[in-house]
Amino acid sequence: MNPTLMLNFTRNRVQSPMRLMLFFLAFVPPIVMALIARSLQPVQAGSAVFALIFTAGAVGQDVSSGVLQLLFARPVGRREYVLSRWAAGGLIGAALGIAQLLLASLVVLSRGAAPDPSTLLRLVLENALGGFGTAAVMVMLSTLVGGLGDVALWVFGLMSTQILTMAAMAKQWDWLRKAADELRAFLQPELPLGWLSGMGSADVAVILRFFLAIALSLAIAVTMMQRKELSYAAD
Amino acid sequence: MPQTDSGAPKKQPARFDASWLALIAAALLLAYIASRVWQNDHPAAPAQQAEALGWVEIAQATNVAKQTGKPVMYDFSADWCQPCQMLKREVFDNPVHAKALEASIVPVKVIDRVQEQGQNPPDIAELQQRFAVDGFPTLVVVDPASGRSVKTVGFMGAEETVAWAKQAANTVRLGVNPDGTPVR
Repeated sequence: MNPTLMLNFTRNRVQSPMRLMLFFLAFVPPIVMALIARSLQPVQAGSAVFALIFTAGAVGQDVSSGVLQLLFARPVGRREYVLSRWAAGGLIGAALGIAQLLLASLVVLSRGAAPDPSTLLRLVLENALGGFGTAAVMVMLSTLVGGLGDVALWVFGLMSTQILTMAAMAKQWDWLRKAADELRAFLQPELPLGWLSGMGSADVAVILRFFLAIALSLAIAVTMMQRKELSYAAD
Repeated sequence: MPQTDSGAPKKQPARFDASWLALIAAALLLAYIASRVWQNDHPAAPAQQAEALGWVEIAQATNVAKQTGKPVMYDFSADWCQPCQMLKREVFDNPVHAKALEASIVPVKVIDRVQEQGQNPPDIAELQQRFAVDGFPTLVVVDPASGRSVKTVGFMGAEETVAWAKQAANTVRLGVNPDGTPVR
């Protein structure tokens, strides 16, 4: 991973008015909802949303704008480039998700509903991991299509899982429902950590599935980048 | 031969740049499949599962309610229902919430089997019809003595669910809603 690439990516992302507007819409309303409901429920998956907003088009926009050709004229490896995009996107998502969670905790606390410290710690960890999971998937999708096509792919994938689930229920096809669940879990990687605070027991398969989604996404992303033909004569 | 972006011949090792990531992914994939197969072949027995809440069988619910003087809370759920799993994970498997619930109600789990078996056992079908259950999760708190009941559909959050159950227990016991109107 390259700190300069990560820093430049972060700077580029936070200078986008559209992303900042989406960030505002995803950041403030859930805190207001937490204030009204006196609960942290509305802010439980913030980091995944922020990672989605700030990682969308991480590679595809560079490809579409021709930045990649210039970037790879320098001594920057493609794996280094992909992993830096992922790390920066994950860090942004995790940091903003945790910030939202802590702000919501203060808001809830001010209304006399003190959040349980172990629950808060669990949510912080889940947010941190969720940000890196979503960032990996978005970086992978971004290597497949140009521009912001990764968002369209992601939405299409999730809609497909809904349709498959409905078809599975109608036809009583359990295998199809399981396949749809697996696809959904891959597109929305999350790692519930309730077992850390005594809520149920750890599910090894769920833990493996989360890290598998990240590793597989990054492996696909790096492979796709390796195969990309980049030349000034292209297009 | 693949070319680098500057036009020079690409070094061979770069093509295998993703190999260690692919190896990790392949190892995780194998481990994941193995864990799923193992879970499929060795389903956890009810006694081994983390059950913070002391569920009561449907057939015994009314007797236990009469003995303890607490209303029954039916948790209508289904294995495929994700909000139901969230409710289980965040409320029923949480020792603190489970203890708070057990102080107010007699918990009874009613799992829908239409998806898996084509139809429900008679006792489950009768309960679903009696309380007009048309979505999951549905929680119904009912006082067996008076037959008064209150119902909520969907997962509203852990603390809110516990607060609702406590309020519902008082409501069916007293026969008066929080706003003063009588409960049917």
